[in-house]
Amino acid sequence: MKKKLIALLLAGAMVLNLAACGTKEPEKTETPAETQAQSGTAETAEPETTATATTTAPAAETPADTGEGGTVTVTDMSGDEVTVEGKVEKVINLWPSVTSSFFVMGAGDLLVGVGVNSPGIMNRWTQFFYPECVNIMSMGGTEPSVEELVTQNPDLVITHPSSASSGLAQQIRDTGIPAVNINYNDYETMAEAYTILGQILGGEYQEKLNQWCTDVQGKLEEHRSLTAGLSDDEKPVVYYIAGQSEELLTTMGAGSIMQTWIEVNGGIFASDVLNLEGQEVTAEEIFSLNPDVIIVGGVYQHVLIDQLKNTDGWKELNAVKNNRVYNNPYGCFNWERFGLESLMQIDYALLCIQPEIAAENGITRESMVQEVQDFYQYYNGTELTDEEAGYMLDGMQPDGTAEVPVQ
Amino acid sequence: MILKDSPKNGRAADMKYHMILWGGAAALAFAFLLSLTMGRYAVPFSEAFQIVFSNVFPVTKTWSDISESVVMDLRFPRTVTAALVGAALALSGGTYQSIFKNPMCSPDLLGVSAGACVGAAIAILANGSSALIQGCAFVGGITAVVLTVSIPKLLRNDSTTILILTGVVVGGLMNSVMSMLKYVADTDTKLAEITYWTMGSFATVTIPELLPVLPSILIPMGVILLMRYRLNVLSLGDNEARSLGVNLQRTRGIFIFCSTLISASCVCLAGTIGWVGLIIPHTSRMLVGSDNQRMLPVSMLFGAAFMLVIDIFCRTVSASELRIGILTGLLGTPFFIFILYEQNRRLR
Amino acid sequence: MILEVENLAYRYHNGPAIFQDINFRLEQGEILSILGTNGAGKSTLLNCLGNLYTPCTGEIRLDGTSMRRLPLTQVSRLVGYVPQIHYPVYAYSVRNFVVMGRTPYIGAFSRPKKEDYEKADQALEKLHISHLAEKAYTEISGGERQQVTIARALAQEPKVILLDEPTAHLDYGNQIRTVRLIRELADEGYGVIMTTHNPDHVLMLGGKVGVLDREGRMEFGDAGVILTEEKLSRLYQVRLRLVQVEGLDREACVASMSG
Repeated sequence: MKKKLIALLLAGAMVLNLAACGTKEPEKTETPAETQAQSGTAETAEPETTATATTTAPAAETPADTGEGGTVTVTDMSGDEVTVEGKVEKVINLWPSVTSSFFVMGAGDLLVGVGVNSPGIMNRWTQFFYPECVNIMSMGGTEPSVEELVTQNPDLVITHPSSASSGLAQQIRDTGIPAVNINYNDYETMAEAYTILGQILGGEYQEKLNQWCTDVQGKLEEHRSLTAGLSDDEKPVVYYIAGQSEELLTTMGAGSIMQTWIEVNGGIFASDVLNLEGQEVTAEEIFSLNPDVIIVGGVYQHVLIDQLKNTDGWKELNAVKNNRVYNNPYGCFNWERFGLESLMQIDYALLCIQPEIAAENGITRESMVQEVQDFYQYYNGTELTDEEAGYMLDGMQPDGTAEVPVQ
Repeated sequence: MILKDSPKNGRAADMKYHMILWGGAAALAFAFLLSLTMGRYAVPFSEAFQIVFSNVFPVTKTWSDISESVVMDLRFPRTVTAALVGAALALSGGTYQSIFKNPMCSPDLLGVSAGACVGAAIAILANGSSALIQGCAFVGGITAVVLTVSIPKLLRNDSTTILILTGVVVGGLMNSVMSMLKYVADTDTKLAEITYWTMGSFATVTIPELLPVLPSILIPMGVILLMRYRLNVLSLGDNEARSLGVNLQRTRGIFIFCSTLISASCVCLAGTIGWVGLIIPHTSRMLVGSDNQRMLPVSMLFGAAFMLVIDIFCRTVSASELRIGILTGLLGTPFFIFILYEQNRRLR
Repeated sequence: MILEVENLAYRYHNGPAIFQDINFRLEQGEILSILGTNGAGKSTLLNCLGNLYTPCTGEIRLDGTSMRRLPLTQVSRLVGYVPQIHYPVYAYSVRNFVVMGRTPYIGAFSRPKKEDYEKADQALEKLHISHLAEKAYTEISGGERQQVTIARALAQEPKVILLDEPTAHLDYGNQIRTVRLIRELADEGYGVIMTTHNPDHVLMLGGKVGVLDREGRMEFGDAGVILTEEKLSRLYQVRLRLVQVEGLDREACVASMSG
């Protein structure tokens, strides 16, 4: 009796399984919504399309019609081929690190959903450049259910790098919605990611993103040659404090993007000297290293700079004694970590690390103010006053106050 | 801890058993259908029904591709997996509870889950593909159990008690290794990946992922079911089992081996899912008695149905899916307390 | 069937000998009581006889074949083992508990058949405890549990039954009833070996006795011959008398309150 029952259950399970195998292969078909006319408001072919070759160009299968009403196939950073048809107007972005890029390049209207959006997540500069950011729908996490995504019917989903190996992107694609996986943590990978994003979005966004890649490449090369002739003695040791918490000992590890904008500008990255793999360092190590320059980023930058000047041990460091402690600006995102604004970091860092070379090449506080204004004018279409640009350079919010003020 | 057996009269007990067995099967079938027709994306019930049956019988297609994709590509694999894993874990837990003569045993007593998580974490840190992560999880689980059963051999003491102790030790060791791996993981991506993987989810299981693992779940389940009478004998005690002619090491070894394969396979499919292997056999015992001939099949049915219901809840309650490992714990604990309370009340 | 024990010895890993030089033989229908002080090694010896421990030297033969050479199930069909009272975790019904005695006849992939359940019922019948069949094993009294365990051993249809201190944990009346039951079993043709603390029970049963001394050596022989006042007094370190009790028609062992 029992044997029969079990045999029946197993057989039933197997039948259902076989039935499942028998269903046709999930097609990468168009979503029913994608019946929009391929209206030909195609912008003039971007001159920058070919210029992307200067950075590490990812494979673009059909550079034919770029995103605007045509079909694009790109290879995302997990190595999967993703086809996007038609114009992308609704994006659900599950990776917080790229959200700021949308806001910076004026693409905030494209975002219909982000992974998490709660009060306080969008900082004041973001709200300044794109006030509607606080209203973008939250998906409740970085791995929402596929059914939920299907219900929202976006034109594109950007998945979180932590779901790269879980097959989530493919599952989304199987329902007919394109999903890309992009990931970056330094200039090179940013160039790759932005190029892919540009191909998908097309139009003005592709133009801006490609321009960014070109400019970054150019600046990095230029600064490298400016500081090429420096001997090791002339290169200051730079200690970077992350500043996301009230902790003087949290930095970034060796090999991170900090190392790039420090070394390119004639500095030596402290984490590199200390062979630091993680993000935590001990006070003893910093004291014995005695860095020449300290750069403090994050929302706690002013609090921490104040602490540096007033805490025993720290105030005896070369950097503090010689007044070589600098804050690091942030806009929609921290300049020094990644995002489109990291373009301006290259010049800013030179100003901090090798002020003489900077001065010789026309990079000064005044020129930085202009650079900030030019940047947001081009990318965002917003005009910043001298005052506002100055606030940003000083690590302040648009109204001149610090996000976390010194008590 | 003494557990109460079923009704005293034999015939009533028989009838009750059959009622529960068929009731369980019906509940499972219902939960299965429910799972295919419920979800965040609205598919009308009748349409979902038709879509499922169109795979076996010819039905004219009146639904959209998206609906079909949602039902067959998203819901069907996870429904089958959830039911299978629920049944498998319940069976595995019941088996351990008999072997170790302890109704508080769960399938990860010998460290299989902890070991599997370590294996998966290593693969995730090494940027492994989904298949590699599965494979490493499986190997990790098996390795942990091999370690656990080898230590008693070194100590030349093959009593069941020592086995439990070494299981705890190896489990602890694996957890420490896990902590270490989490510590060196990149906090932006890898750490989250490891944590989510560990918490358990049926969301990303696809049929191609499930098929290779199927034999290593179904075959051991079959073996355990065929041999389940021996579990009764084993639960009497080492000496008594031996005196009744049971080769203790070999029989226990087979059960542990099968159970480990099952548990390791379940973990590599869906991460760590606790409590099911503990609560379901317990509940079955309360309903149909301790005799494994009856208790285990009932456990399987209930385990499958239970898992399906929890999975439905996890993915319909909010936009972002709840992790099933969390929910089995949150729901499991009060349910368990309730069981203990009932136990206590009846004993008076 | 004949059970022969030759030169049996057991010691823990590198420890002193628990027992050594054990030699005896038992035929069906005979009773062997193993007497000894606490820790003398009685249970260990019984476990060896029950194929639960492996002796270090010596041999146990069943009908001429060494126990070592026989497959496990074969030994279980010949030797039944009744352990001391224990408390199992799972509340099997008495019937299910007794039918487990049929395990030596049930294949690894099989389950008890109707005949097996019938034999279990017969065993319960024989011990007059059929009314307990559907009760949970954990809900019956100690004495009843003892009987149920013996029923399980009977369901095994063995030739020899081993009992480990069957009268421990029982009230006086149940003790006596158990001793009488053992006598009956022997009369029916089972070979019976039991360990006991009570010399009086041995006298009640008659049959053979093996006295294990503190060095682990056993003196084997007829109870009536081996058991003397002097030997018993020395063994237990108390003054006692063996007296013939008129009216009850047997010898009894009675201890003094002093000495």
